[in-house]
Amino acid sequence: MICDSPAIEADEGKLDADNPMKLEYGFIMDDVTGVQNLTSNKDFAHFLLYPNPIFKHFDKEVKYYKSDYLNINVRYKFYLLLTN
Amino acid sequence: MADNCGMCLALAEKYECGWCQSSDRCEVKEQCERADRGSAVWLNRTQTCPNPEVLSFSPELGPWEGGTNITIEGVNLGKTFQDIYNGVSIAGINCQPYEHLYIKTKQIVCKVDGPGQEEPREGPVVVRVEDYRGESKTDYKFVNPRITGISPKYGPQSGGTMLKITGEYMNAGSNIQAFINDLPCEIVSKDQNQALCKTSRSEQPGFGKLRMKFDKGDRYFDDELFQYVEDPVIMSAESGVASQMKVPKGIPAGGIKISVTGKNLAYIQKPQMYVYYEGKMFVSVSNTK
Repeated sequence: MICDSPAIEADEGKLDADNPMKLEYGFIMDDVTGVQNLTSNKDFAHFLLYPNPIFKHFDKEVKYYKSDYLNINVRYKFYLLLTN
Repeated sequence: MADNCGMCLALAEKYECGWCQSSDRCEVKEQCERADRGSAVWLNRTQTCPNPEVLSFSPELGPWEGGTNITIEGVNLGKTFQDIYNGVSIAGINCQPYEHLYIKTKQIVCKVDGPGQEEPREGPVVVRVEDYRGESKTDYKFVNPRITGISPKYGPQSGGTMLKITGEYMNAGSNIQAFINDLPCEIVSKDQNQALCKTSRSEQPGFGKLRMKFDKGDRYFDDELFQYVEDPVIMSAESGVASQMKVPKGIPAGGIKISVTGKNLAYIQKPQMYVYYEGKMFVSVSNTK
């Protein structure tokens, strides 16, 4: 099963990419209590909240590339790995 | 002091009000006779209003087995319970009023018998007060409710599954209930073609038959059974590729993919993930199984 992480009204000023915030999480599945509040179980790690990625513009409007890899200057670049 | 005859004649005696038929107003006798309209007809509080009216009733349909409680609202529907006690009928069938639910001149709640046969039958709501008679503009219908399907056909043992029941006349009657075997499925909403109920907890996994009660009518659904399956269990929830540490991750904008593994996850209709941030819950929905 694949879930999208929820949108969270968070104060970005409090978020640090090097030290993500640890949050409690769980699942709502009808009235099943066993999947709620998973973080109370030591077998489950906390949900980690990172700040939103910030993208920097290219120097020119459009960048043409002939090689395999397109270099996008992104702060917190490792997020690209998370979205797979 | 009162808008209609019934309310007027029900006022306290000290006001000495009565219903003036020529002026269509609640007033004292002298004022009614002052109008030079020939012989003014003034009804005092011991008399009966000549025009009972049935303005609305609910529900508008019920099972042919009867037992439905019908709430009738109107005007001039008697001053005392004795005035209407024997005078209420629905599509020609006697409806027995409840004394504790009678509101003088305005409301009658009665329980209707069944026509005794499965044939459809409909007719107006009629209230008789002495020799006067009020009749509804629309008909009450005795119908035969029928269950045709259920969806989904499974849910967790812990209950809480929203079960959609399709059929005919799913809103017939005043007291509609649903059960899976003997476990209540709490009715959340109903209309003519569909009812929605919430399953309750089952101590065992297994199959159960849907049964509904429409007042005195019982209906069973034999074509498909509902299956209580073992509750789902989560084994892992993580973001990222194999080489990374296996934890769930996210950003305020949301939308980071979290891969969840476990047992019986497929039996849940709308799984949702939530996180707690500073004491507040934020929720998202799963999009693939």
